[in-house]
Amino acid sequence: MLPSPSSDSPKSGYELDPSRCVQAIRQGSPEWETELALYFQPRIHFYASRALPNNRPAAEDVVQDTLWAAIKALREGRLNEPANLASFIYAIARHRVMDVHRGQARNRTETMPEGFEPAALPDAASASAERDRIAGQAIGELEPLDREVLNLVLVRGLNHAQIAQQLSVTIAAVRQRKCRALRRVTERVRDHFTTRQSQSTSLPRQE
Amino acid sequence: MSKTILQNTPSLCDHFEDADTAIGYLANTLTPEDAEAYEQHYFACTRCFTALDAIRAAKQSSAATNLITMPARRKIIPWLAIAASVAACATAFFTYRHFTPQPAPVTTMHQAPAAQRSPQPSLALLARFEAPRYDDQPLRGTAQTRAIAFRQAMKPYTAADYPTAARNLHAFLNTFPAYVPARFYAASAELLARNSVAALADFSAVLASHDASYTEEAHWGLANAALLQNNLAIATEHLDSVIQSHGVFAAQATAISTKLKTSPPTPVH
Repeated sequence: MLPSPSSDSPKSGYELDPSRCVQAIRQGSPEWETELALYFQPRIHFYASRALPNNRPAAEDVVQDTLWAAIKALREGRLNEPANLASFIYAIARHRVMDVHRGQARNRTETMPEGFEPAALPDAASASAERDRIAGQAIGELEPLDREVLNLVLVRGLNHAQIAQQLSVTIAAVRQRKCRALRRVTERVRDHFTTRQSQSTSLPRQE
Repeated sequence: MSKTILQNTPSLCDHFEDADTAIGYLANTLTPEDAEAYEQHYFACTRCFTALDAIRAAKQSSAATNLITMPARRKIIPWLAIAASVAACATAFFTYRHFTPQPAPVTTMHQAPAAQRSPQPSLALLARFEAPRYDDQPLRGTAQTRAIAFRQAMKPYTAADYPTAARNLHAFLNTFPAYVPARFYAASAELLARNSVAALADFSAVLASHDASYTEEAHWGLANAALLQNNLAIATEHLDSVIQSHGVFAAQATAISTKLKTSPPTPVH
């Protein structure tokens, strides 16, 4: 009997048991393919968007191609060590990005695995924009000085000493305020991320 | 940072509790080896990936908040707004009176013959905006209506007919106003057609969309549009944002910024 992701993974897309996932996909479980796609899609999208900052269509293709290639490989049992699942998928994504840099992406013809429907996945860019909005709300609720510290760290790229000098506070105070601000924003975005992911539904399997 | 520590060891990710690795990764200040190790790690570690994504979102929102709060402060202090307006008018008058009128090339400065006539270039001569790459890739699977319409609207862009591309894309945006790629290419087409006012509006809308994949390019476009308008303050602000992003335009932005600092535009007598 195939392990069910709904019973084994309480937060769909948030946590993934690689051993169960690899085993279940090899045995033909569409639900676990969905779990894998939900878990890795945001990571591949993040990585590809950063690696290809001026070519969003190519970044989106990298996401899709990586997921397709990974699922095909897992169906064929080509990953011997399930513990290396994340490294395996990262390596595929990295090669796809290198293909784009070498201009070879168009020459590759990737066949979509039968039964896998990527259109049913949540839109990674929209989800990312939604998390920006949540972060913006969280930043708006910070103390003004914490907000200023966060701005100087993240946007201006200043170090602790430079911020301390600019705001006339101690370096320890800067470090404390930065940690506090980041923790609050991170917790808010993480809560939103896990809530949204747990609401995701399984992909339909095409007949 | 040891690669072996980072790979597939979520339980050891307390190393990132101070978030400095994520901040360094987003700012492109990690070594390539450390960046790769960190990427492998966040593919496996949910805790670190959500923290990284949250910090990215915070950076994005913080940068956008900066843009929004500046005009708001002027509303709160009306007399400051009046003073700023007077100063802006004075600057505009000064610019009009004393700067040599120059065409506004969107090419590189050393290609502009006008620059040879005057050793002190106007800001417009510093603008160097090239058409962002667009891959007209064949649509796969069940192509959506939006994708087909966008591809159609982009045809003049691929033929370097930027005024037509700008019109097409704005017509497309009437139907799909939230499609950020269309807004971005419309802004680029407007800038390449030298419609700097429309380009400023469109690039600002791209920035307000909080789409991280266009942030650096939007700042770069805004900087170039501001240069075409001889608006030093806005150009400097967006050039600084491009430099801070450490992306592909950072070197060009630094070169322009250095030029502005070392030989700022001065009156031509």
